[in-house]
Amino acid sequence: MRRPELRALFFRRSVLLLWGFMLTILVAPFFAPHDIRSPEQVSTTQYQPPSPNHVMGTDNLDVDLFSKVLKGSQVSLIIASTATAITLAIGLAYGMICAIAGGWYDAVLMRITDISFSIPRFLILLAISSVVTEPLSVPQLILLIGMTGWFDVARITRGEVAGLLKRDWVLAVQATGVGHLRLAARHIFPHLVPILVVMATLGIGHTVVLEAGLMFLGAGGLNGSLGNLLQDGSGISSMTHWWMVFFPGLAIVLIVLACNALGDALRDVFAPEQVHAWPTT
Amino acid sequence: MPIGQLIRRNFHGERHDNGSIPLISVPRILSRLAQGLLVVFISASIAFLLMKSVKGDEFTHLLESTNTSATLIATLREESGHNAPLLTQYGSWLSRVVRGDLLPSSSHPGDSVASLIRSALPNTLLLMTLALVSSMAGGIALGAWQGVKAGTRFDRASNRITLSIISVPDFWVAMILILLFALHQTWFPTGYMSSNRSDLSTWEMLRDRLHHLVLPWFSLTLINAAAFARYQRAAMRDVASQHFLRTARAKGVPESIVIWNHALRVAVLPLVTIAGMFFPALLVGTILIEKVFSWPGMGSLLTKAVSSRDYALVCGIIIVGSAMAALGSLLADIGRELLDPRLRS
Amino acid sequence: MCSGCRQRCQSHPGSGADSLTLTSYACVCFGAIRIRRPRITAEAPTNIFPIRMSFKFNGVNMMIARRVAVGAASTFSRLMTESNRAFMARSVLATLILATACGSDKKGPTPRSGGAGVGGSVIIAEPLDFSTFYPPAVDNALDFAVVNSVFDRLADIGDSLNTIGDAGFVRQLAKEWKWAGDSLSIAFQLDPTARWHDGVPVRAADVQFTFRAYTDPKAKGANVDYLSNIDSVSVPDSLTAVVWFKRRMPQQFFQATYHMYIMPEHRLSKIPFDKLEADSITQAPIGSGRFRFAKRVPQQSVELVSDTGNYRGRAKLDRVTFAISSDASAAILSVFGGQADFYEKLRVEDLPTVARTPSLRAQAFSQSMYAYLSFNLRARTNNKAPNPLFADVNVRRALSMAIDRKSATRAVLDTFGAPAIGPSPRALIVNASDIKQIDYDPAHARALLDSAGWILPKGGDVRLKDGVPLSFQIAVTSTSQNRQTFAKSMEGQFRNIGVKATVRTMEMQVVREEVSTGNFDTYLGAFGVTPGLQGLSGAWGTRGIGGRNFGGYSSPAFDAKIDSALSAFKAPVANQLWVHAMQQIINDAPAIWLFEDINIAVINKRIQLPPMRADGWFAHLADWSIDPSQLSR
Repeated sequence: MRRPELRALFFRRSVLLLWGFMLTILVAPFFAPHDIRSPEQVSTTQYQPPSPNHVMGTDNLDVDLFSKVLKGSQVSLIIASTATAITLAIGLAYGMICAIAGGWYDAVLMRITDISFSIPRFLILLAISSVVTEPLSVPQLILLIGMTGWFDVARITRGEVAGLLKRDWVLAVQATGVGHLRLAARHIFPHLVPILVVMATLGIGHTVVLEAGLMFLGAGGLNGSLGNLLQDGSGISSMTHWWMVFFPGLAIVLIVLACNALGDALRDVFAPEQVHAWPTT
Repeated sequence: MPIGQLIRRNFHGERHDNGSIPLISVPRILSRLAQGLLVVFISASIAFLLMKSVKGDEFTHLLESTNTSATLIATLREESGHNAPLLTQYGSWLSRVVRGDLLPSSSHPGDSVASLIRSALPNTLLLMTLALVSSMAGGIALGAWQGVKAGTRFDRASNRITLSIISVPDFWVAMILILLFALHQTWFPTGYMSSNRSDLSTWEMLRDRLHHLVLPWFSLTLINAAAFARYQRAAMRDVASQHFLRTARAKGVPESIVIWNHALRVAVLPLVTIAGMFFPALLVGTILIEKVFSWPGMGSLLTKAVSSRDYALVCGIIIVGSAMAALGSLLADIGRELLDPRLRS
Repeated sequence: MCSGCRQRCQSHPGSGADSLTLTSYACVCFGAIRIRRPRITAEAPTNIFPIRMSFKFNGVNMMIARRVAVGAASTFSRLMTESNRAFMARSVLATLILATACGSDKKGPTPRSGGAGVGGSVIIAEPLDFSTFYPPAVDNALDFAVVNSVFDRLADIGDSLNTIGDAGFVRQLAKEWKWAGDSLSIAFQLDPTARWHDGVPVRAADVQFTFRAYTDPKAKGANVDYLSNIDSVSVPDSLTAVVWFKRRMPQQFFQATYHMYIMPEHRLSKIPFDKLEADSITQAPIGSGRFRFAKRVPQQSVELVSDTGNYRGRAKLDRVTFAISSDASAAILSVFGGQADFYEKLRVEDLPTVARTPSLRAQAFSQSMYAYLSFNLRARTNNKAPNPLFADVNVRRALSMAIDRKSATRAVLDTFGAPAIGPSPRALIVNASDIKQIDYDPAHARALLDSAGWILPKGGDVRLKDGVPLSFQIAVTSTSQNRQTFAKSMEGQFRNIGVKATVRTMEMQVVREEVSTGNFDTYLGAFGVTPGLQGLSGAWGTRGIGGRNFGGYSSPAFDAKIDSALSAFKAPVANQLWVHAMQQIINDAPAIWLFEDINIAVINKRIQLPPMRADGWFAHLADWSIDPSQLSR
């Protein structure tokens, strides 16, 4: 890697540990100890506290919670990463178009973005989920979250690109007569990669929390994600069985911590000061 | 990035060239106000679209549960304007929003949406303002302290701690707090806003309310304070290298005054803007925490409205929520204008 | 008590809402901390310092507490050396926090004299907000609790829940009644001392108005079919109301009295019938019951106070408050945490926590209800066409055989419930053992499905017939955890025979809407059965289609059998006819009859209750009282 700071970063113990954990999550459900579907023969025990056989205890149908948490982490990560990818794609395109177009278009489009940014995203998502007749499936959820989160990305991208466009070498490239698309893709985009990476890592963390919150309120479907598990933990088991609440939340904390730690460290290296470390919606 | 340039960005994120004329405050505030109104308008429109997209309307249930005749329902629909063209309906919807007279709530047959929101809003505002004030105070204090002790072990350790804290979902913290302090140890109540007793004196009622406030307030404050602390720390780092601080030190000003009076004054400014942007996040956090604590505010109202498909109530709450978020950022902007002498004309 | 401390840290025992107790008490005084040693009260009737939950008095704990206290005291004295301002700020803050956490000197109204156990107040946790207080529109147990306490009937059913003739009925608004010779009418003499809560005397015109309101077509009509046998109410004089019937039936008296809560004509007649429901929630309902409606804070609470001077005697409690939580688990938590005193539906898995809590006890009471999984016999999109999945009775019987009801009931309810025997709790059917049930037999179920044309493809999990998979949704309300758990366990059992079921949990109103419009596949619901089984035709008869017969089951044979059972005057004949009716519907299997559960209520020990009636825990709310030794307010 080119920068010595990056190299030092990636050897930081904490970052390595956390990302090792994330990768484990992605493949772990295939090695989960128990089946997580409702049992075909009714079991006589429910809600067993954590024990050597069931590290995180069992739920109301005697399904192992550890396996459910692994599966749930996988689902949450898939939702979060896909939604973040959509967010970045839309925001990047929008921001670049705004900056390159410039002038009046730029002002209007940015004003639209600012206003959309001010509308509380969570409320809109809740409202939409109340309108649909069937509970939201995973692709629908991903699309919804992805399409409501790109405003901030667009704003930041536009700021960066606008700054870049004033540089001398860009003027030089433009003087060679290259078209807008090529300019954007070949020359400007590589400079945006660091900031996109930072937004991606932080964004995954934010989305996991957002999705967990949505599920917790019952706005999503039953897709087994960590938010669903938290909803079960606070609902059916009414918190008298602490492991139902504690472990899914712990999984969320670890995932988001990994994302935040990496994103924070990357931010320190590349210093994009406009990127917020905290979800604002 | 020097702090001087940081605050010369306008809300588009554009940089102003050094030496440009400082922005005039009043038109900026007016434009922010207009933007806020636009936000509310757009939320109302989204709400309208959502309501229209729902199959059936407030008369659907009549058809099934009672033996009301189909012609009677058709007449009712006609009277309430469902067959009018979409734009007319939109216009009448907007006029209802402005008047504050929204459709009756379907999950609460007797109450109108306006009265439900009116009874729930103060409770939410109480929680939100308390949390905002305390998290700002705590966060700024902690961040400033970190700035003072920049580079030491305390700074690094507390940085790691704040990073961990902002990674935690606030409603999970709330549930863990209930498990620990309301169930395992019954120091605090598990929910509600008060103990619903009418025979208490005013002083006892106040104390009862405070007692019920502690856990929800703490869960909201903890994470937001950590977030503010992180911003403040970054801001302090930027200020620390400024020339005017060097001058103050050279003059012989004691270090504590250098930090707490000079540096902090400047470093707080971006925080005020950020506080305005925090409002939506705080609103969301409050909604989730209200569900956990059965706090009778807008959050509980919204949760129950969403799950019982009470569209009129959902729309009303969306509009009020957007208005609150817009108001929050407007207030933050005004605060910035007041606090930063460079922005005054 | 700490010397110099302004607040006496004192709390009252076990009383739900005000038990702000700590396991050790600390009064912060300006300069020192001392830890108070709490006194043990197990059952001892003292007024001070109860022990909450799990603090055990052994040597280790006290040592730890003492160490904590010493550490806190030394820290505090160290703090004292800092600048004055900081110190004052810190101690004020600490006082505020700890004073809030400590108990407070409560001065409630002085306990009233007038009999043992009169006075006190109770807080009841409820998971839902109230929707209406208008008696004809009330159909969920929560609203009934309030309506039953604020309004009176002509005569209340006895504790034995007998519905034949008038044996056991208790006088309420009617002082006495006289049957006509041909039994086609009953003349009720009203109690002349009965008054509405606003002072106006109760008159027969109120009864007539009530009947009109209940049977008005614009009313919600939840109870209309119960009153179908009543022709009219006439008012020969101001204190006599005569109820006229269409025909003689064994349950006439029950029909005339049980379903109608008498409403004040002078107050409500000016408002059109369709506005009354909305009016009831905004205005305080005026009734004649032993409780009067005090106030309602939307989303938070409803308060009833005792009607002193009531013609039947005041309610023993001073005040009953219903506190509204976000959901059932929050309601249970509030009882465990001490914010409420009563919750009617505890889950079996919470019993150990109750056992660990000295101030709470659990009480089981039977509750005339049964849970069922009803098949939608009509197609979702078009309610004239039969449902492609469930139209075949063999398919329905096969699905019934796939569920091991005994084990599932045992797992979900432990010993607090039993498998259902049909659309009625077994207590109401004599000779229930004569009914031949559909037993658990997955092998037979698979064979039946195969012969019905639903074949399991190679390597697949879900049976197919003409390309249509045997897959459906189970709709459940979010308010009942037992039913949710049962539904999830049925998912697995159906998978066992190659049927894919998906549980869908929704809010009660949404479920009600979907189910009443026929927009469901299967619905796991529960019915509370009114005494006398009169509601059966409304639930499963042809008459109930469009009402509570969600699945659309229509069998003339079943209707006839119910009618004849209801009309039989002799008990043995009636019992036999009921058994026939049950057998008919079980053979037709329009639903799987799942379980009937015994309710477990969690109650604060200071509340003394009379035996709970199966038709509602709130039936004798006016006779609840507080243990006099623990009466503090």
